Amino acid sequence: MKVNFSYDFTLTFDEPVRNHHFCLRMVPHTNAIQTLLDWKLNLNDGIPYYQTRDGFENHLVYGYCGKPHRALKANIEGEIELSTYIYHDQEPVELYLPHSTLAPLCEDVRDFSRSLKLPVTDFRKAHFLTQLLYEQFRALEEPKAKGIKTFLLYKEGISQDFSHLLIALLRSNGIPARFVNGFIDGVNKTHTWVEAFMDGDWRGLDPQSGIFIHDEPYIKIAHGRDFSECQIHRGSYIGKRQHILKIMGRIERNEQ
Amino acid sequence: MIESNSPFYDTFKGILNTIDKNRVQELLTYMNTEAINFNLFKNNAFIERKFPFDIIPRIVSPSEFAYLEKGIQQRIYALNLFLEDIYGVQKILKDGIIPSEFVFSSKAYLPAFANTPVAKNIRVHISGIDLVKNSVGDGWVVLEDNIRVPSGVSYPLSLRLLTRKVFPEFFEKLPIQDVRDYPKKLEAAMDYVNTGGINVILTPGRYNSAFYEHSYLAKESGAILANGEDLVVEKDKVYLKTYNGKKARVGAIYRRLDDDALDPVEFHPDSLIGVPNITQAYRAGNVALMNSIGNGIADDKGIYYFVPAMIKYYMNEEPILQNAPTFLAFFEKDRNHILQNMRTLVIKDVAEAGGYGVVFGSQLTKSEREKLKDAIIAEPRRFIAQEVIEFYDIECLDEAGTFSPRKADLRMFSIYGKDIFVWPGGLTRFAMDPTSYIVNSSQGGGFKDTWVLKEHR
Repeated sequence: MKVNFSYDFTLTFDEPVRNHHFCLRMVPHTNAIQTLLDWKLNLNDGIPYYQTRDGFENHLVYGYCGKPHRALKANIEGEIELSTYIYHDQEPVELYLPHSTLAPLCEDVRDFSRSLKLPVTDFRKAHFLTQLLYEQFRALEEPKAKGIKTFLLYKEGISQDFSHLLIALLRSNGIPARFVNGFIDGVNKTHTWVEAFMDGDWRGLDPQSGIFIHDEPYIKIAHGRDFSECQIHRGSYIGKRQHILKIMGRIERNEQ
Repeated sequence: MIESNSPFYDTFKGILNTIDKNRVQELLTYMNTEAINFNLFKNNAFIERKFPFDIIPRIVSPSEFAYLEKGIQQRIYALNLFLEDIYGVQKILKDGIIPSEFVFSSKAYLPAFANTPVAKNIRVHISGIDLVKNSVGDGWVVLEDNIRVPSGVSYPLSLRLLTRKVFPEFFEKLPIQDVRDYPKKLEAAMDYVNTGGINVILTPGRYNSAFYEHSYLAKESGAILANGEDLVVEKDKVYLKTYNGKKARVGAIYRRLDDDALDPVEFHPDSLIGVPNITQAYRAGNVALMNSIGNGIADDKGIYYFVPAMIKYYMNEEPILQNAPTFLAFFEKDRNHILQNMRTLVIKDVAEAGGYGVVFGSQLTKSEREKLKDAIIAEPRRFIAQEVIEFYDIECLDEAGTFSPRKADLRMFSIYGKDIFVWPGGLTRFAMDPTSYIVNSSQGGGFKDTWVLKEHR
């Protein structure tokens, strides 16, 4: 399936900032399930950018704006070919078994996991857990508190919390799992989901919708062991810390 | 037991006896004017402190040095191959020499830097291997491979320069190897990996415990001493901002910052001493960092266990230097051994450095021991245990002018450029307390110079 996509990233500051170094993950990941056919990236005021890749093969766009500015805006448009969300790659799967900082195996996760009656096979376990998160947890637009513990306590959180808890639960059941940053059509936020390694392949799991991703148009940007390794934006600048981040992704089926 | 098997100690003492004691005072005064400090953080307070030293050197015979040199070269070569492998195809994991979960569960392994090539395939440019001489069997034992940002070379080097001035007779009568070319070897290695531009030593600043050394090495190697704010990444390259507003391209950086502080855009976001986006310039191959990012996995106290196996695996050689007998709590058999023999073992937390997180089982109370046992069972990957090595004491001259024994180790430095140079000197650290085994500078230990002797002419 070929789709056209556009993705807008806007970071605005209350007061002008300067000496702004940034690193963005915006260019979709290239792998066996998505082929980037064409893309164009623009930054506001013609800020120049450079590209490299990190160890997860995520595409990095980085640059510098020295003069005072109130916003960093980036837009990427392009065409991508998507296929069924089952694939494998060169990365060692075992990398995704140990617990990581944002998806820890803390007492709360252990207790929660123990309270569940899980089915036998990996595939069914993953399905069960994805469904469970969808049914028992509520999605918030804005984060109220941080971390997996409060997510378990209040049963509500943002997209990241869903993914981190699912990852922690999968890993504690011996299923390698990784964090995915990306977007779906029309959601006014970055969407995150999970890839779990089962029967020799990575599969996409969206705990916020309670589904195994199959042919739905999910565009993957980056992955890592947890959010900290595949953030859409990282930066350092001189100025007040308050900023507002807006993200808009659009996906249109290309009817050719 | 005191290490004094070398006849040269007698020669040394003979000369020392002929020396006017006032000249010892002269040396102390010189050392004070040179302001050789080792800064400490104690109870959250910053203490700028003189690094206590002792004028009696450790003396290493020519044959002993030749053996250490070969052993260190072999070890560094293997560790470098390990890092190239672990951040590349990971053959050693696929062949089952090291359990992969052992590497992947370590915080020191940075997968975000996998497949990042480094200049000339060198990652372990500067190393400081800690050894002790076992009083049982007389063999040298490696305690730690410090291949992130090892410090300490400037202390024995400065002491040497002053000792030469104040006590020239030692250098006339004993065939001591010259050590003054260390900064030049550093410069040559920086030039060798340089990707185009000037050489820089990146310091965290004057509050760092080894700032003295950073400035000394910069002065002597011709590199520019810079703080993070003096460097800037523009386009995809690193530049030094100069006082006249011009910028100079930087091709090699001997960075004395930990990975975590290096780049607020990539690592710890609150780091004010780093250089934003320097890692992207590094990933793009536009600057050489000495040492490379992610080296921590190779001097992880747990990975240490596997170094002899690495030497066999990558080089098909028998390891020249031995490891201390080590048990990994990660392996069930070893864990049981640790839990049953807590009293006789040294237990180390693999995440800590500088003598922190080192516990002698014999010194724990019953409840402390139980608490530690629980911690080991809960997080086995975090702990290793070693048998206590009865290493040699070395004599120190105390304030009363008498010789008294102290436990001492030896940090030997090497520089990997065109080849692996092992510095014919070293930092000998001793415990201030006569009953202590902990010699780390950050734990209040003192230091001595290390004299490597040449073959008789």
